[in-house]
Amino acid sequence: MSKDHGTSDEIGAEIEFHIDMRTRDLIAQGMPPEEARAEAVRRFGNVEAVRGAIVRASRAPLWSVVVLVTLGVCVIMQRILTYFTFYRGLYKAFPFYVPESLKNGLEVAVCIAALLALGERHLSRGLFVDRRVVRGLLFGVACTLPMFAGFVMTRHSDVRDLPALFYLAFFSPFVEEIVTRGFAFGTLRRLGWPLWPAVAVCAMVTGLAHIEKGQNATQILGLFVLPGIGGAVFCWLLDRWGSLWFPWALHAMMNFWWEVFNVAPTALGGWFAFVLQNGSVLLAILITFKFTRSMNGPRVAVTPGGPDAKERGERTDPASPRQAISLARLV
Amino acid sequence: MPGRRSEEMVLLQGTLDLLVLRALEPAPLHGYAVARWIAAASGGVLRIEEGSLYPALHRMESSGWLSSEWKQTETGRRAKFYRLTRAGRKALGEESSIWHAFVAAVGKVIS
Repeated sequence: MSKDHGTSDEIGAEIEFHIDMRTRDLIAQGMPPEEARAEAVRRFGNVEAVRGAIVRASRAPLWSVVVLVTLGVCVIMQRILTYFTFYRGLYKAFPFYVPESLKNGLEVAVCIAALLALGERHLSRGLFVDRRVVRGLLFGVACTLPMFAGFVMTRHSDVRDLPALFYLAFFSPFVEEIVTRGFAFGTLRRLGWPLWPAVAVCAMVTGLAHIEKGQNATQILGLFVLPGIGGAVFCWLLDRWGSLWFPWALHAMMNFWWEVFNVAPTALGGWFAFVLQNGSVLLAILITFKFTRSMNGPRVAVTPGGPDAKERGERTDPASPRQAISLARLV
Repeated sequence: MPGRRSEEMVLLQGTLDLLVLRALEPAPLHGYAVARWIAAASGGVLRIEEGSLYPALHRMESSGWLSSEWKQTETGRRAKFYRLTRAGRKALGEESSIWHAFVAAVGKVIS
């Protein structure tokens, strides 16, 4: 009985056996050997991506624990740091965004260390920041136009502290998206977690990360539920678009209009702001449904004409580049 | 045939697991044989993207649904054969029930 089913040699031998068998069958069907080998490799897909996915799948239970512990450390990072006099002193000597940026930097460093420990060689790919930057930014701007329109007609803009605005609108959401979505949600999905359990874990963490500003039980509940729902939507956006820039741009632009028009010190800003916030989120969901398709699970070729379709000249080639990218991410 | 072409679909979550578990129900198979079994059992209509099969096999092995053993094939090559465990048989029953309920529900909607 194979005890260590994830060793590199075993995985390589298993893949090689598969490709050899496919090559042999194609040759038996009359294909020249070189062409048969190339076709077998093409049908198998990206060997390195599959090899990585096998390693992740084999170690998924242990690695899931690593991800959840890392996420937990990030959630309590503020509490950990307040034990240090140096850190408490930063709050007295500098604006709040200085110590909080330090905390954010540590959170990102912890996540990167965990990703490296899990064997991710391409950090930008591992955190989903390597593609679709411009489209993601346009998406965020477009989806938050309802917020801008609503606030510009009912409130005055009041920006007095530009560094604080930059921190609250852009940097803090960026770190939150990197930690909760790019690292935690993205890694759990690659480890084979189904969509909604992974969303639930990350949404709860998003909710917990926002409750510290609550002054009473009602506020704390509101600050848990509303950002939690937002966190769930951001996870879903990452899953559909395959790029962190989409949830980040939406998150950042929502924060930006909130701060520019000085709506409220927390994420609770009254019914009108609530309607505008949710209008933007709804628009984001509709746009996403319109322009993306679910990438849950592997692809299967459904050949109406049967296995001989290619021989009859019908199209049987694999999916579009967008689908291929999603497969590489999710297997 | 004008207007007809091969289409690629994304499997619903868990569907690949169900297909693999079903393929392994009668007897242990290696990965390539699993892919061939699914293609043959579906009359050549379903063709799993072959590389995606192996992460699923290893994941199900990690979760205790499958066990594996390296054995010689009929061609003399050594290959990794997967076998359904008791937990895997139970999972196959549960996944099949869910799938039949899903198909029945969709059938009601579209009929």
